[in-house]
Amino acid sequence: MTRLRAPRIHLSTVSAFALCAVLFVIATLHASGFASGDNVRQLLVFASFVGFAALGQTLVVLSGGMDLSVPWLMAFGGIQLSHWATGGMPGGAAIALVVLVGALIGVVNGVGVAFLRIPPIIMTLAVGGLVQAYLLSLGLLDSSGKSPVPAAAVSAASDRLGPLPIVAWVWLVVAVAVGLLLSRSAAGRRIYAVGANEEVARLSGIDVARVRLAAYALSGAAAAFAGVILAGYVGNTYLDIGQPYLFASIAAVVVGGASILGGHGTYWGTVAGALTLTVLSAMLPLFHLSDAGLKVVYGVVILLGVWLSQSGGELLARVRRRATISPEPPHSPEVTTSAP
Amino acid sequence: MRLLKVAGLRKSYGAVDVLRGVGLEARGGEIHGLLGENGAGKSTLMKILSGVTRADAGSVTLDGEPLTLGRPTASTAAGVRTVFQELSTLPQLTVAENLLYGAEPTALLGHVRGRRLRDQARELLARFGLERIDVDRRLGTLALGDRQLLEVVKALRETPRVLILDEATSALSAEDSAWVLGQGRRAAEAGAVVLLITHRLAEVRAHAERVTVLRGGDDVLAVPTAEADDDELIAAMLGRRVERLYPRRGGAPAGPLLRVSDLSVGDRVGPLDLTLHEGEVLGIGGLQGQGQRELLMALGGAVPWSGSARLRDAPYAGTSPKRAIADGVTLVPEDRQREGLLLADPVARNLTVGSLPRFTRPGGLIDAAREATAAAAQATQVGVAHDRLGSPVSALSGGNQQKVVLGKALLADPSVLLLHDCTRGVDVGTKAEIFTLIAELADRGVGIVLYSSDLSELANVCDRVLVMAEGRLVGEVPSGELSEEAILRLAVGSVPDRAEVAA
Repeated sequence: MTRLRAPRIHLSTVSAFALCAVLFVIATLHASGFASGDNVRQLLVFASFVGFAALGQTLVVLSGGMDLSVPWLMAFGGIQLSHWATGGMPGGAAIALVVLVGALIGVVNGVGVAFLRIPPIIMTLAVGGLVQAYLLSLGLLDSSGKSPVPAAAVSAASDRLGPLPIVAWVWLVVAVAVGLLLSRSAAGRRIYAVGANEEVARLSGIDVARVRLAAYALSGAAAAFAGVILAGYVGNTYLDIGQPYLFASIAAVVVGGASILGGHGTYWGTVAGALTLTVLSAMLPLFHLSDAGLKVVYGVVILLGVWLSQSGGELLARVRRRATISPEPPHSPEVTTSAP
Repeated sequence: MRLLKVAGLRKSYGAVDVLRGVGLEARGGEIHGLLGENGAGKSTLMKILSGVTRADAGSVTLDGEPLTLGRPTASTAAGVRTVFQELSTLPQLTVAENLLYGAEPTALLGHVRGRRLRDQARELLARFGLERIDVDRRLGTLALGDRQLLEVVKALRETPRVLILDEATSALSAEDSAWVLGQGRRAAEAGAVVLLITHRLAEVRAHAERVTVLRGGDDVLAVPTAEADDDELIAAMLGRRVERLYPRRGGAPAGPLLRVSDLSVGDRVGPLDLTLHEGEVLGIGGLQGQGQRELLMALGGAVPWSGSARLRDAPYAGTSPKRAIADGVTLVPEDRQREGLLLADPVARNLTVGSLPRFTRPGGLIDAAREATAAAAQATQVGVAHDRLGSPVSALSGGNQQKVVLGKALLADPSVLLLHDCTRGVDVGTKAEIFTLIAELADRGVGIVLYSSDLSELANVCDRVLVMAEGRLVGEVPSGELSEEAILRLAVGSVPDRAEVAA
């Protein structure tokens, strides 16, 4: 029987995980404590922030777009949560509501991109700006520019369940779900199709606008949730809390092997990308580099990761393809059976 | 006399030999036809001549001198110009910028002199009798046919020593094809070696002095055109005889299936009325760009239209491709590469992408086994080998790609099938298969609307043909009177000597 699904494990995903493992080994050789249980748990928590911020980004990029409002939605997740919780709303309800409103903000992005045909970069930047303005208007930051976070978020970000932090479990479950969505569901097929060629998708009977809308909505929800757990971990929240995640969310997607132009990539790749970025930024300070040197190495390693997963994987794939699938035979046999 | 001589040319991709020592001799002053099925090696040979691809072995000489190949610039310097089947123009630039690309008039500081550029472009177009094309328009906004004509103008900017027309007429109406071939003739009269690659036998017959047939990477026949009849040429291409290209039909059209009244698309097309019957193959003819694309796209829900329509006994809205497909109306779009296929995806996924709801379980997950079975069955119906189901569709030949697009449309189980030039650039064997398929579908009661730029196809495959001009239906050729001439007469407003153009 023919295999319809793309290969279960993508080369680019493998290369991203491999890069992460190499970095991890280097760090451990340099400082043995790097591989300790506590440190690994810590890394997983940090990585989950990137993982959630990049979850929606993955879906949006696969569908051929880009979401630059992610950092502001993260800030929204933390600050709005704090606002509602200090207003007396139960923590769990507040978290659910924040994620829901995040999804609605994502829908605004989606409407602009899918129906008004505003380029995604512009639309999501603008919406990010509006969210920022709204957060400023809340004005509940204390004198240090921070606002407190309810206990539910704090415990979600710091408690353990068995060997792993709760957020790591949540991330794992979500990753499996998103993996299934992309590889096995009709919705996933539609996302890839829209990203690969919008017009082909449309003429094939796919509601392109709805797919876009859903991708941006999920991105909004995931970014808001990332903001909630990040705020819970830090213990308070502030306007710029999401800033590092604009770059990180996109870099994780691309290091994970997705095409920035859409149509190609996986969430497991993004997971590997998130882990790679996290390990990298945690290990670099161990090497006593200057600030400038640290940033240079960080940038170079990320570029290397992108190159590995984009071209390296492709190169390997080409070699493999040559070995397994031959090109069209010059005289295709099926033609000779024709004459009516 | 000028002589292009190709000898022992070999080329392999991986383990597959695409050219196995091809030879070819073509003389200056003549048009030399090159025939062969998709995959016979024609395109590879042309790519080698134009320097896009490097040969593994063999020689190419022009007037006894070896031709340096392997780089497009080298071929260009040697005077080889190619008009490709797939357009190589830049849609974002204007007509003028495209025509003079790489040869723009520049001022002292290296910037392009806009007015001069436009003047030169206008002169160039005038030289070819194409003054009607506005040099300031973005190329992407022109009809496909006009873009193809501009490719020819670009290639003939300077007089070439070798002119390659690589399926340059496959997308064109009879009139435009005649123009392109006329340009080929002019180049030949100026001494050029003209290679004409086409799937239209009639074109070779009418325009080429000599013909070479390729099959499986070898040259299998090289004769003066007058010395071989069509059957011989087809037999050489296929390695066997085709009984008939156009199949016999079993059933006859029954009751009305789709009734459309007052259909308009924008202010350029319509209003028009038409009725498609069950089991009918309804042809849409006319010169190119007379609103046929808009009509088919509108019926398929792909462009907004006004008017009313009934499908069987229910109103038909056709507001989106999604709704149209759900109602049983499926479009096979014009451009398989840009509108029909997800090129990087496997064949199987392309087959099923238009019918995902059929394979989706209640939870939203795809039933992979059912999908695979359906894809395999569909591949069988359209004649795509099962071992290709997993390969990217971009690795298939043009003919097989077209079969995948058809298979995708058929998997949605349409009661009305809209076919836009579905045999464009397809080899004769595949054409016969597609026509057989069309006949089978019609015999099962499917209503088919078929637009084709090939008159003989309309005359031989359809039950009747509606002819469009300037966005309206200008006439109908009923089944008893179907002929290429009758269709063309209506299309060009009955100018009798234009009929020769149809040949």
